Amino acid sequence: MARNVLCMVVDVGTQLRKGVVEFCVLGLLSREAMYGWQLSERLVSSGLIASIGTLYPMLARLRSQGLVTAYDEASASGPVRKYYRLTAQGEVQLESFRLQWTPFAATVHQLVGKDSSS
Amino acid sequence: MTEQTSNTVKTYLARLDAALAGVDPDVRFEIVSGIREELAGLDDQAAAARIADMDDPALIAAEARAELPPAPTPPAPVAAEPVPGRTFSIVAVVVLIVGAFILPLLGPLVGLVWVSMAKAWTRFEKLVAWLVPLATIFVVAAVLAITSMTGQETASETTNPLIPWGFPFGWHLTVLIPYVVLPIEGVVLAVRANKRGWRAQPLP
Repeated sequence: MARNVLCMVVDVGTQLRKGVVEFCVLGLLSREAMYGWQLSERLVSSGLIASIGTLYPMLARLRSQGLVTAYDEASASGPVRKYYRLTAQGEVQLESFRLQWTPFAATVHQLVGKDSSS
Repeated sequence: MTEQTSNTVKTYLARLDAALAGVDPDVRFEIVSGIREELAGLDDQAAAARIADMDDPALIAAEARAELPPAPTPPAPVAAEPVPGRTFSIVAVVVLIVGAFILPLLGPLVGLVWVSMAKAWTRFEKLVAWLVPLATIFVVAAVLAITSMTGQETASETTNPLIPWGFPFGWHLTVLIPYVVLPIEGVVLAVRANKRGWRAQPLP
Protein backbone atom coordinates (compact mmCIF):
# COMPACT_ATOMS: atom_id res chain seq x y z
CA MET A 1 0.00 0.00 0.00
CA ALA A 2 2.73 2.41 1.05
CA ARG A 3 4.71 1.38 -2.01
CA ASN A 4 1.75 2.14 -4.28
CA VAL A 5 1.31 5.54 -2.70
CA LEU A 6 5.02 6.25 -3.18
CA CYS A 7 4.78 5.24 -6.83
CA MET A 8 1.90 7.65 -7.34
CA VAL A 9 3.93 10.44 -5.75
CA VAL A 10 6.86 9.63 -8.02
CA ASP A 11 4.58 9.60 -11.05
CA VAL A 12 3.25 13.04 -10.17
CA GLY A 13 6.79 14.40 -10.11
CA THR A 14 7.64 12.72 -13.39
CA GLN A 15 4.55 14.05 -15.09
CA LEU A 16 5.16 17.55 -13.79
CA ARG A 17 8.75 17.50 -15.00
CA LYS A 18 7.73 16.19 -18.40
CA GLY A 19 5.23 19.00 -18.72
CA VAL A 20 7.69 21.81 -18.12
CA VAL A 21 11.19 20.57 -18.88
CA GLU A 22 11.12 21.62 -22.53
CA PHE A 23 10.14 25.12 -21.53
CA CYS A 24 12.93 25.13 -18.95
CA VAL A 25 15.34 24.33 -21.76
CA LEU A 26 13.89 27.21 -23.77
CA GLY A 27 14.25 29.43 -20.71
CA LEU A 28 17.91 28.50 -20.22
CA LEU A 29 18.69 29.02 -23.89
CA SER A 30 16.95 32.39 -23.90
CA ARG A 31 19.62 33.65 -21.51
CA GLU A 32 22.61 32.30 -23.41
CA ALA A 33 23.57 29.73 -26.01
CA MET A 34 24.66 26.51 -24.31
CA TYR A 35 26.28 23.26 -25.40
CA GLY A 36 24.74 19.89 -24.70
CA TRP A 37 26.78 18.85 -21.71
CA GLN A 38 26.35 22.27 -20.12
CA LEU A 39 22.58 22.08 -20.53
CA SER A 40 22.53 18.55 -19.22
CA GLU A 41 24.51 19.41 -16.08
CA ARG A 42 22.18 22.29 -15.35
CA LEU A 43 19.02 20.27 -15.81
CA VAL A 44 20.31 17.23 -13.93
CA SER A 45 21.41 19.36 -10.99
CA SER A 46 17.94 20.95 -10.96
CA GLY A 47 16.34 17.51 -10.88
CA LEU A 48 14.54 18.06 -14.17
CA ILE A 49 16.15 15.23 -16.12
CA ALA A 50 17.86 12.03 -15.00
CA SER A 51 20.75 12.04 -17.46
CA ILE A 52 22.08 13.43 -20.70
CA GLY A 53 20.21 10.62 -22.42
CA THR A 54 16.99 12.53 -21.83
CA LEU A 55 18.33 15.80 -23.14
CA TYR A 56 19.27 14.98 -26.71
CA PRO A 57 15.94 13.50 -27.80
CA MET A 58 14.35 16.62 -26.34
CA LEU A 59 16.76 18.90 -28.21
CA ALA A 60 16.07 16.99 -31.41
CA ARG A 61 12.37 17.55 -30.88
CA LEU A 62 12.80 21.26 -30.19
CA ARG A 63 14.97 21.61 -33.28
CA SER A 64 12.45 19.81 -35.46
CA GLN A 65 9.78 22.21 -34.16
CA GLY A 66 11.98 25.15 -35.12
CA LEU A 67 12.22 26.39 -31.54
CA VAL A 68 15.95 25.77 -31.14
CA THR A 69 18.83 25.85 -33.57
CA ALA A 70 22.40 24.55 -33.30
CA TYR A 71 25.76 25.81 -34.48
CA ASP A 72 29.36 24.77 -34.02
CA GLU A 73 31.76 27.03 -32.21
CA ALA A 74 35.35 26.50 -31.18
CA SER A 75 36.02 27.21 -27.54
CA ALA A 76 39.20 28.99 -26.45
CA SER A 77 40.66 26.03 -24.61
CA GLY A 78 38.60 23.09 -25.69
CA PRO A 79 37.26 21.44 -28.80
CA VAL A 80 34.65 22.64 -31.26
CA ARG A 81 31.34 22.31 -29.50
CA LYS A 82 27.80 22.26 -30.75
CA TYR A 83 25.90 25.11 -29.17
CA TYR A 84 22.15 25.46 -29.01
CA ARG A 85 20.26 28.73 -29.01
CA LEU A 86 16.68 29.86 -29.16
CA THR A 87 15.06 30.85 -32.45
CA ALA A 88 12.58 33.67 -32.82
CA GLN A 89 9.83 31.08 -32.84
CA GLY A 90 11.26 29.64 -29.66
CA GLU A 91 11.15 33.07 -28.05
CA VAL A 92 7.48 33.40 -28.95
CA GLN A 93 6.76 29.94 -27.56
CA LEU A 94 8.61 30.71 -24.34
CA GLU A 95 6.80 34.01 -23.91
CA SER A 96 3.49 32.25 -24.42
CA PHE A 97 4.44 29.76 -21.71
CA ARG A 98 5.50 32.53 -19.34
CA LEU A 99 2.17 34.29 -19.78
CA GLN A 100 0.27 31.14 -18.93
CA TRP A 101 2.53 29.65 -16.29
CA THR A 102 2.18 32.29 -13.59
CA PRO A 103 -1.63 32.34 -13.45
CA PHE A 104 -1.69 28.57 -13.90
CA ALA A 105 0.69 27.98 -11.00
CA ALA A 106 -1.25 30.47 -8.88
CA THR A 107 -4.49 28.67 -9.63
CA VAL A 108 -3.04 25.27 -8.79
CA HIS A 109 -1.54 26.64 -5.60
CA GLN A 110 -4.86 28.16 -4.66
CA LEU A 111 -6.57 24.82 -5.18
CA VAL A 112 -4.09 22.47 -3.57
CA GLY A 113 -2.14 24.71 -1.19
CA LYS A 114 -2.54 23.92 2.51
CA ASP A 115 -2.84 27.57 3.35
CA SER A 116 -5.60 28.01 0.82
CA SER A 117 -8.34 30.16 2.31
CA SER A 118 -10.87 29.60 -0.45
CA MET B 1 46.33 12.27 -23.20
CA THR B 2 48.01 9.02 -22.29
CA GLU B 3 47.31 5.82 -24.15
CA GLN B 4 45.62 4.38 -21.07
CA THR B 5 43.21 7.34 -20.69
CA SER B 6 42.64 7.46 -24.40
CA ASN B 7 41.63 3.84 -24.28
CA THR B 8 39.34 4.57 -21.35
CA VAL B 9 37.59 7.30 -23.31
CA LYS B 10 37.36 5.14 -26.40
CA THR B 11 36.01 2.24 -24.40
CA TYR B 12 33.40 4.40 -22.71
CA LEU B 13 32.29 5.93 -26.01
CA ALA B 14 32.17 2.51 -27.62
CA ARG B 15 30.07 1.16 -24.76
CA LEU B 16 27.80 4.17 -25.02
CA ASP B 17 27.42 3.81 -28.77
CA ALA B 18 26.66 0.11 -28.43
CA ALA B 19 24.11 0.76 -25.68
CA LEU B 20 22.38 3.26 -27.95
CA ALA B 21 21.83 0.68 -30.67
CA GLY B 22 18.32 1.02 -32.00
CA VAL B 23 17.95 4.62 -30.84
CA ASP B 24 17.19 7.18 -33.54
CA PRO B 25 20.51 7.53 -35.46
CA ASP B 26 20.57 11.33 -35.22
CA VAL B 27 19.96 11.30 -31.48
CA ARG B 28 22.51 8.53 -31.05
CA PHE B 29 25.10 10.57 -32.91
CA GLU B 30 24.26 13.70 -30.92
CA ILE B 31 24.63 11.95 -27.57
CA VAL B 32 27.95 10.33 -28.42
CA SER B 33 29.25 13.55 -29.98
CA GLY B 34 28.16 15.63 -27.00
CA ILE B 35 29.97 13.38 -24.55
CA ARG B 36 33.00 13.11 -26.83
CA GLU B 37 33.18 16.91 -26.89
CA GLU B 38 33.09 16.99 -23.14
CA LEU B 39 35.87 14.43 -22.77
CA ALA B 40 38.04 15.77 -25.58
CA GLY B 41 38.82 19.02 -23.83
CA LEU B 42 40.09 17.43 -20.64
CA ASP B 43 43.51 16.24 -19.64
CA ASP B 44 44.11 12.58 -18.83
CA GLN B 45 43.23 12.66 -15.18
CA ALA B 46 40.21 14.91 -15.63
CA ALA B 47 38.86 12.74 -18.44
CA ALA B 48 39.18 9.61 -16.31
CA ALA B 49 37.54 11.37 -13.37
CA ARG B 50 34.74 12.67 -15.58
CA ILE B 51 34.07 9.23 -16.97
CA ALA B 52 33.91 7.87 -13.43
CA ASP B 53 31.24 10.48 -12.65
CA MET B 54 29.27 9.89 -15.80
CA ASP B 55 26.17 7.82 -15.91
CA ASP B 56 26.36 4.27 -17.04
CA PRO B 57 25.90 4.02 -20.83
CA ALA B 58 23.01 1.62 -20.31
CA LEU B 59 21.22 4.22 -18.16
CA ILE B 60 21.82 6.98 -20.71
CA ALA B 61 20.51 4.73 -23.47
CA ALA B 62 17.48 3.75 -21.42
CA GLU B 63 16.70 7.42 -20.76
CA ALA B 64 17.04 8.23 -24.45
CA ARG B 65 14.72 5.39 -25.41
CA ALA B 66 12.17 6.48 -22.81
CA GLU B 67 12.20 10.01 -24.17
CA LEU B 68 11.84 9.06 -27.81
CA PRO B 69 8.47 8.06 -29.21
CA PRO B 70 8.21 4.33 -29.88
CA ALA B 71 9.33 3.32 -33.33
CA PRO B 72 6.37 2.72 -35.60
CA THR B 73 5.65 -0.95 -35.88
CA PRO B 74 5.66 -2.19 -39.44
CA PRO B 75 2.18 -2.87 -40.72
CA ALA B 76 1.15 -6.46 -40.46
CA PRO B 77 1.29 -8.24 -43.78
CA VAL B 78 -2.08 -8.18 -45.40
CA ALA B 79 -3.48 -11.68 -45.30
CA ALA B 80 -5.11 -12.96 -48.41
CA GLU B 81 -8.57 -11.77 -47.53
CA PRO B 82 -11.30 -13.94 -48.97
CA VAL B 83 -13.42 -12.11 -51.49
CA PRO B 84 -16.88 -11.63 -49.99
CA GLY B 85 -19.53 -13.47 -51.98
CA ARG B 86 -17.34 -14.02 -55.05
CA THR B 87 -19.16 -17.20 -56.06
CA PHE B 88 -22.55 -15.57 -55.68
CA SER B 89 -21.43 -12.61 -57.81
CA ILE B 90 -20.21 -14.94 -60.57
CA VAL B 91 -23.42 -16.96 -60.49
CA ALA B 92 -25.46 -13.75 -60.60
CA VAL B 93 -23.69 -12.40 -63.68
CA VAL B 94 -23.85 -15.78 -65.43
CA VAL B 95 -27.61 -15.89 -64.80
CA LEU B 96 -27.86 -12.36 -66.20
CA ILE B 97 -25.98 -13.41 -69.36
CA VAL B 98 -27.77 -16.69 -70.11
CA GLY B 99 -30.96 -16.26 -68.09
CA ALA B 100 -33.02 -15.10 -71.04
CA PHE B 101 -32.09 -18.22 -73.03
CA ILE B 102 -33.02 -20.57 -70.20
CA LEU B 103 -36.08 -18.91 -68.79
CA PRO B 104 -37.37 -15.93 -70.77
CA LEU B 105 -38.31 -12.84 -68.72
CA LEU B 106 -37.86 -14.56 -65.36
CA GLY B 107 -34.22 -15.58 -66.04
CA PRO B 108 -32.85 -12.09 -66.72
CA LEU B 109 -34.99 -10.69 -63.91
CA VAL B 110 -33.43 -13.11 -61.43
CA GLY B 111 -30.00 -12.24 -62.85
CA LEU B 112 -30.59 -8.51 -62.30
CA VAL B 113 -31.89 -9.07 -58.75
CA TRP B 114 -28.89 -11.23 -57.88
CA VAL B 115 -26.47 -8.72 -59.40
CA SER B 116 -28.12 -6.08 -57.21
CA MET B 117 -27.56 -8.27 -54.15
CA ALA B 118 -23.95 -9.18 -55.02
CA LYS B 119 -20.96 -7.40 -53.49
CA ALA B 120 -18.92 -7.22 -56.68
CA TRP B 121 -20.48 -4.06 -58.02
CA THR B 122 -21.04 -0.54 -56.83
CA ARG B 123 -24.48 0.90 -56.25
CA PHE B 124 -24.07 2.99 -59.40
CA GLU B 125 -23.22 -0.05 -61.52
CA LYS B 126 -26.27 -1.87 -60.17
CA LEU B 127 -28.48 1.09 -60.99
CA VAL B 128 -27.07 1.24 -64.51
CA ALA B 129 -27.62 -2.51 -64.86
CA TRP B 130 -31.34 -1.97 -64.28
CA LEU B 131 -31.63 1.18 -66.37
CA VAL B 132 -29.80 0.00 -69.51
CA PRO B 133 -32.33 -2.67 -70.60
CA LEU B 134 -35.28 -0.48 -69.64
CA ALA B 135 -33.83 2.50 -71.48
CA THR B 136 -33.07 0.35 -74.51
CA ILE B 137 -36.63 -0.93 -74.62
CA PHE B 138 -37.92 2.62 -74.29
CA VAL B 139 -35.68 3.99 -77.03
CA VAL B 140 -36.43 1.14 -79.45
CA ALA B 141 -40.14 1.44 -78.76
CA ALA B 142 -40.03 5.19 -79.32
CA VAL B 143 -38.11 4.83 -82.58
CA LEU B 144 -40.51 2.16 -83.82
CA ALA B 145 -43.52 4.24 -82.85
CA ILE B 146 -42.21 7.21 -84.76
CA THR B 147 -41.28 5.20 -87.81
CA SER B 148 -44.63 3.38 -87.76
CA MET B 149 -46.49 6.68 -87.76
CA THR B 150 -44.36 7.84 -90.63
CA GLY B 151 -44.95 4.52 -92.34
CA GLN B 152 -48.71 4.69 -91.94
CA GLU B 153 -48.80 7.99 -93.78
CA THR B 154 -47.27 6.35 -96.84
CA ALA B 155 -48.52 2.79 -96.29
CA SER B 156 -51.25 3.14 -98.85
CA GLU B 157 -48.73 3.84 -101.57
CA THR B 158 -45.55 1.98 -100.76
CA THR B 159 -43.60 0.42 -97.96
CA ASN B 160 -41.04 2.64 -96.22
CA PRO B 161 -37.66 1.67 -97.68
CA LEU B 162 -35.92 2.46 -94.42
CA ILE B 163 -37.96 -0.23 -92.64
CA PRO B 164 -38.02 -3.07 -95.05
CA TRP B 165 -39.40 -5.49 -92.49
CA GLY B 166 -42.38 -3.33 -91.73
CA PHE B 167 -43.99 -2.27 -88.49
CA PRO B 168 -45.21 -5.59 -87.03
CA PHE B 169 -41.76 -7.17 -87.27
CA GLY B 170 -40.22 -4.07 -85.66
CA TRP B 171 -42.04 -4.62 -82.41
CA HIS B 172 -40.42 -8.03 -82.16
CA LEU B 173 -37.13 -6.21 -81.66
CA THR B 174 -38.22 -5.26 -78.13
CA VAL B 175 -38.61 -8.94 -77.38
CA LEU B 176 -35.08 -9.59 -78.64
CA ILE B 177 -33.58 -7.01 -76.30
CA PRO B 178 -33.19 -9.40 -73.35
CA TYR B 179 -31.31 -11.78 -75.65
CA VAL B 180 -28.89 -9.09 -76.84
CA VAL B 181 -28.62 -6.26 -74.32
CA LEU B 182 -28.56 -8.27 -71.11
CA PRO B 183 -25.80 -10.70 -72.17
CA ILE B 184 -23.66 -7.74 -73.29
CA GLU B 185 -24.40 -5.96 -70.02
CA GLY B 186 -23.52 -9.11 -68.10
CA VAL B 187 -20.21 -9.49 -69.90
CA VAL B 188 -19.33 -5.85 -69.18
CA LEU B 189 -20.20 -6.28 -65.50
CA ALA B 190 -18.17 -9.50 -65.31
CA VAL B 191 -15.12 -7.86 -66.89
CA ARG B 192 -15.32 -4.85 -64.56
CA ALA B 193 -15.73 -7.02 -61.46
CA ASN B 194 -12.94 -9.35 -62.51
CA LYS B 195 -10.54 -6.41 -62.91
CA ARG B 196 -11.26 -5.42 -59.29
CA GLY B 197 -10.97 -8.94 -57.91
CA TRP B 198 -14.75 -9.25 -57.62
CA ARG B 199 -14.98 -6.42 -55.11
CA ALA B 200 -17.07 -3.28 -55.44
CA GLN B 201 -13.94 -1.25 -54.61
CA PRO B 202 -10.43 -2.41 -55.57
CA LEU B 203 -8.03 -3.20 -52.72
CA PRO B 204 -5.62 -0.32 -51.95
